[in-house]
Amino acid sequence: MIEKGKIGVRQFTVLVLMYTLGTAVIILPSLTASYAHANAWITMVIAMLIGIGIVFMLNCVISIDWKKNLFELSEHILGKWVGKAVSVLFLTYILLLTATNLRQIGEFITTQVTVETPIQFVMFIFMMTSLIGVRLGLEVIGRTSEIFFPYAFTSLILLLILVAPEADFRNVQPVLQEDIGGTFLAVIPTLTTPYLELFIFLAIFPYVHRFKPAKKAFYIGVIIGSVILTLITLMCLAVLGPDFTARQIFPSYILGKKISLANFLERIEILVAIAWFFTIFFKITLNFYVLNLGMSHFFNLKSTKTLSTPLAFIIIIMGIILFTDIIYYNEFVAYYAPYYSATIGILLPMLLLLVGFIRKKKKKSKVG
Amino acid sequence: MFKVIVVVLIAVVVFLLDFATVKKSKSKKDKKVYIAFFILALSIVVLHVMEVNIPTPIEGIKQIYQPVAEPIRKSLEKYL
Repeated sequence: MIEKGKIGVRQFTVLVLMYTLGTAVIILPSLTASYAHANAWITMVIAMLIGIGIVFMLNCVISIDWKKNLFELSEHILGKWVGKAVSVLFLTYILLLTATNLRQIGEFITTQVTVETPIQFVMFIFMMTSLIGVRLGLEVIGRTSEIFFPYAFTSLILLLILVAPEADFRNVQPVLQEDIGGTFLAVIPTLTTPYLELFIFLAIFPYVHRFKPAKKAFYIGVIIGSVILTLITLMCLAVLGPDFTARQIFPSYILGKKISLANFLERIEILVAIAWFFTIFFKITLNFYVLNLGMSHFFNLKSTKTLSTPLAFIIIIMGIILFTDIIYYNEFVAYYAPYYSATIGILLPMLLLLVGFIRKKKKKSKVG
Repeated sequence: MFKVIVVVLIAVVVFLLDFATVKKSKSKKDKKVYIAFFILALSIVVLHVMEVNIPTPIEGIKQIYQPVAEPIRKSLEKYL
């Protein structure tokens, strides 16, 4: 085993929760509201139910042999060459995913916070923090997540509480009367972030201290994250209105701008930004870590740190060249990314599960 | 040209600082793969600095999933 560190069950829960919230918390309300309009929160609930199903499937996959991570598992189940080929598919996806996440945070900072700073510079700074995280190993990432989790979580809860007086629930009525088809079809793009990306936790599972509580922790993290996502979408719809939510690129950030308490507590939208910085930092770091882990398994290297520096620079440049502008990005995320993510996030784990199951049965019949 | 020289100089510094950690692992394979990836990363950065148009892999993914994506895209766009 290349990685020798171990993380606790609570750290694993926090990491899953942060991973579910990262990116999704700020871009998902606009994506769902574009198609489901006033019913966007129902779309989120349906996506959450399907997401729990995906978690169940992933838990089944790791139960085949929980001492092996995703890349070892695919080689173990599918044989050396096919397993390596499947690993390449996983790794390409994770590379593109990390680059996309990095681009999203860069895009957010350059459009909302520091408008004049070149995007390359913002992405460079974020990537360097993640690089330090990966260099220090999984244990340090786990402990850091425990430290920063309260800040991210409280600022999201504070956002929900403080913005509540502005809510006008006539905006979300009538429930499920119009755009019913859109409500159900919008589940497809909604699933991409975060549910179809959860498969990367198959690579983290073997390093969790105890296995059975970790399976439960996976459910808990995803459920709490999805509930927060649903509540934020509901608040966006109630406060900003469905059309305004759909037109914004970062609606939860605009939601933060609406906070106004007794003409005193105003313009604290940076609360949302804080929550987002922390969650996306852990998302990028985990993705980058799994990418390094997979690369070192693929090339049979001695340490996960070996390739981290060159990969960091590749990711920065990838983040810039992947999408020409935000329109192109939105089009890709809404119409094409779901199928690519589904291939990697559902189809390949299913394949592993099926082949693993058949192999187990054959072994049993041979012994019997 | 000035930018390229600066990038290469920075790359040399990064290489000198970073290669020490790889050297510690005392594995020949680690060193070989590291150098290959470093050259790849450096060439991508240099191409980007020289403003060469690198084609995005996103176009390829779009082409592959076109048959599945197009019908659902049409029905989704009805609800925009």
